[in-house]
Amino acid sequence: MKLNKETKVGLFTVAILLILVFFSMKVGKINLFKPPTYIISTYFASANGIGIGTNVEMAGIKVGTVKKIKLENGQAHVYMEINSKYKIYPDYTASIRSMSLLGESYISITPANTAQALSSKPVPENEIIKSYKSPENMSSLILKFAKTADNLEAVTKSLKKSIGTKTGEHKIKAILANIAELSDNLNRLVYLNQKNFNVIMTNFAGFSRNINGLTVENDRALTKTIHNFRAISDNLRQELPSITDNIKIVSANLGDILTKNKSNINRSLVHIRKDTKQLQLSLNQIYGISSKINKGRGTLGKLVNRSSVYDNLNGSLKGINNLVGGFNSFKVGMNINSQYLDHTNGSVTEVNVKLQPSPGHYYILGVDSTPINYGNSYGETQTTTYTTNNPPSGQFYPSSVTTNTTQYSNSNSLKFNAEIAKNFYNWTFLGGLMYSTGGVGVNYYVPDTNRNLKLYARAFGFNSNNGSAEAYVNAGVSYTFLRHLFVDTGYDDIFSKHNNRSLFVGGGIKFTDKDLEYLIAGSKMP
Amino acid sequence: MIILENINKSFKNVKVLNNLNISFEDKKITVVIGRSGEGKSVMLKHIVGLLKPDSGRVLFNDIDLNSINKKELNELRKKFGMVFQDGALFDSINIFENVAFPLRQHLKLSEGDVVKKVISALNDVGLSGIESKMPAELSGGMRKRVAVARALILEPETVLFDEPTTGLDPIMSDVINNLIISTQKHFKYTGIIISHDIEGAYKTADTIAMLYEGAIIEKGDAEKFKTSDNPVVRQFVTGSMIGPIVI
Amino acid sequence: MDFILRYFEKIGLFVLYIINELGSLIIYLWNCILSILRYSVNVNNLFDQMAFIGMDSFYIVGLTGLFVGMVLSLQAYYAARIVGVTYMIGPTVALAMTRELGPVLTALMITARCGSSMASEIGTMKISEQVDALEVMAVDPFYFLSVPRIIASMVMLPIMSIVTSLIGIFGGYVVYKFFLGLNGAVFVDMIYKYIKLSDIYNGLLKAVFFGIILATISTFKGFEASGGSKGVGRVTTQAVVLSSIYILFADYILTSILF
Repeated sequence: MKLNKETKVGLFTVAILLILVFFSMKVGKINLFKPPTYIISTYFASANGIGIGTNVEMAGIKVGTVKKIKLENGQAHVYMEINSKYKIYPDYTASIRSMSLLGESYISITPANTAQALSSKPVPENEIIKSYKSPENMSSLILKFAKTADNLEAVTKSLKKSIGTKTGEHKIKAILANIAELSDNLNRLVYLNQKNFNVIMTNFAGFSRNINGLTVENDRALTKTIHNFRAISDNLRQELPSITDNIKIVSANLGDILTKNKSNINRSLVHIRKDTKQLQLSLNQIYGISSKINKGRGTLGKLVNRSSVYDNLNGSLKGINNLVGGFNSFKVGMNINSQYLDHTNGSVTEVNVKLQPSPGHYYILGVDSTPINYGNSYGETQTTTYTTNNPPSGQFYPSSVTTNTTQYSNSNSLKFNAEIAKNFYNWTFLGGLMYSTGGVGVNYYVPDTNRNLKLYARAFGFNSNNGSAEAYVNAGVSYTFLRHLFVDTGYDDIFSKHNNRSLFVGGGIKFTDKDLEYLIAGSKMP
Repeated sequence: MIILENINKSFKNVKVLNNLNISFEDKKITVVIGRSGEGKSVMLKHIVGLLKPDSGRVLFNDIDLNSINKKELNELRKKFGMVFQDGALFDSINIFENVAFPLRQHLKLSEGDVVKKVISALNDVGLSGIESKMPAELSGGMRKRVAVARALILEPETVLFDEPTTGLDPIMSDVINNLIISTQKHFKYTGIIISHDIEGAYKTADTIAMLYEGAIIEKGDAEKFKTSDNPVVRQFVTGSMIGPIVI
Repeated sequence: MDFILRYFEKIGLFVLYIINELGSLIIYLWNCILSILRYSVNVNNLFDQMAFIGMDSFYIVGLTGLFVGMVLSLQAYYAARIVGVTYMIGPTVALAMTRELGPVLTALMITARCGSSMASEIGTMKISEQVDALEVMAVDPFYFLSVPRIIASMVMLPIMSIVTSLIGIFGGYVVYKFFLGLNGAVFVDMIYKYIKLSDIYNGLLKAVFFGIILATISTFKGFEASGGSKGVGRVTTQAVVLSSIYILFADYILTSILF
């Protein structure tokens, strides 16, 4: 069939115009074959977010649209045009819901009780149905969040106030002293409960005895040490249940001690309590909100309980997260460790906080308690009293000694760490303030050990205030086990001119923010 | 009777027609000769109203072409036929449609009548069997003859020829000249030919006029031109390089 | 002194040229309208031109729409993904196509394809005296050449704009569903939700104006031809360039008025 051009033009034009008409009808919601509908209405305290044409949904299926909205006695009277296919029963309730945080609202009709619904008749034309109390809108929710944040800020401010000032510093010192005292008591407790203690502690004791002998035969001792490490970790793994039992006992004992030293501790802790009270308040508030959410109350609760919305929200949040820029990669870690210096019988204790904004680098902030002169530096002197049945044989630092048969005192100084670290494959390079002096360091993680076995070296004591430019170098090996525990050993002050070379051995505990999360939120362990 | 009165026309400060006065007698062939670029085509375009004079009047049967509106002008133009220099056939349609074009535009004829008229018009100019060809497929002489056929198909009162023999071989020129004479005898139209072919002018013209520097300097029959005293006319007629005409 | 003044003279000439051109264009359009009143419309040529601008341009216009729609969808995805609103890609593509890109791209493609052809065709007729021949044969060139083209362009541009938009949205849908692997139903639903009738019809109204602009300028430029084939080439270029500029300019004006 050969068409002439007039016919072709005509056919083409008409075809395109028909398409236009079709889509116009769809877009303009013009329906020639309009399904039969009926009108119902409801009252809302606020018709915020809805307008003429807003969808009315039941169980997520569109059943109609909003026909008109009138203001009656300060309430919004909303008329809805419902497709006759769908029946609304008298006990059904209407509520305004939001598709997403940023999305628009729609009206949801929810059946109260299915059985009840079946027994009653559908509502007739022009019936007014019940409406759910209009849920809190986003802005009011945000306001609440803001309030919570304000509270938190106030708490941190007061914390800062109490810490940042000179008196605050003293308070902290006092707290630390108390903590030290506490740990001393703990020490004693350990000693007293030695029989109850498990094999690991025996091993530790034996290990330290070995260390005593190591002054003579360093090399042999080192190998032994490593053997001991293995034994310790094996034992630990086996003895974990008994350890926990023991820890229970320990903590019971600790309770005793705490009551005995109550007056001491109380005084320093009272400040903290004051501050934490406020924190607890805001935590309570957060808990309140979250429990509400869990119960599905409030907009957010509703949002959370609808998986499609949840997905939307998740998408948005993920997006926002990416926008804000890698906050989710920010990690915080904390470790507490102590090292025993064999030659001087002194000990180094550190508390470090590790802030890691990206996998590539991190910062370390910390406090150390070290023997005086450690790292060629002088710190503030602080007296710690140890109570022990077995006083160390030689007292290297005799300043401010108070001795009786069971007590000796040692002079330690408080120093600070502030380091920046950068990761390169299995290497980490550190630099900054170490033991209140300039220092650099390097860590090497032995491959295929999941970063558990670490060799490290530190050089510090540069520009220290005793004027000597000589570096204080130590090097060691550290092994992490059971994720949170680690032991390390090494050689301290390797290039010492004063024959201060010393083997050291120590251990500690470390946490990550995930653990803290676990502690606070009780969520599943990572 | 077509009369051009005191026509002046300039293009961008170049004076092309300078106080031109000429009249064309009805049912006679007038040949206007002159050198290329003397304004012959411009004069011709004034006659059909394609150009408007800067001053002066063009009278067609005592109607001033400048005083009438476009619609009246178009009515008047139906009495004209024009053969353009290169034929000016519409190159997007075939020969048949070209010749039939004026018929289709102005007369409501049945398709049979159109075919009959077009075939006879083409026969009159000595062409047949080329109706379905496109203008580009024809030779210059054939195109010109088709143009003549198209110009004559409405049987106009006046036919204008713009250099009908230019670019043709002598034999074809003669064919065209004879065609003009024979069709003029047949249709009795007023013929206005502009040309620089003096021999063709002698053959076809009842009157010859010479256009020089935008004005008519001589007008008369062939005999008068052959024996003219005017040195300009003499130089043009003899085709000499030497003379008063500035080359 | 002369040296400086010469520059001002050039600027002055340029301004005069523009005004003159615009004035001629408006007079030309006015003559075309008068011609419609005087002789009505040459239906035969009108259908020729409608076929030329319409169906014959289908493939080029369709391809343009398809690829623009696909690219739009893809680009919108990169932006929308950041804030997690990929469901807005459909409305983005549909709005861009119906309001802006459909009419403008169609107009530009038709200018390139048909406007140039109009200018060169009429230009050739002009220099080979065919336009004069028309006039001598008492056929108004506006009636015979300009008006059919302008009306055909005016009528067919919205039609082709619908084609472009539709194919563009389809292209966007294909990318959304098959290349990006998202839910196609969301794409369609959101379009119905966010697009308004006025979006479609204002876009089509724009297309009508673009059709008038491109055909008027192209035919006008054709009549301006002189000086052989080079002249035809020149006016063809001018026709395409001027039409495009005027279309984009008019687009801005119309957008600010209509939306």
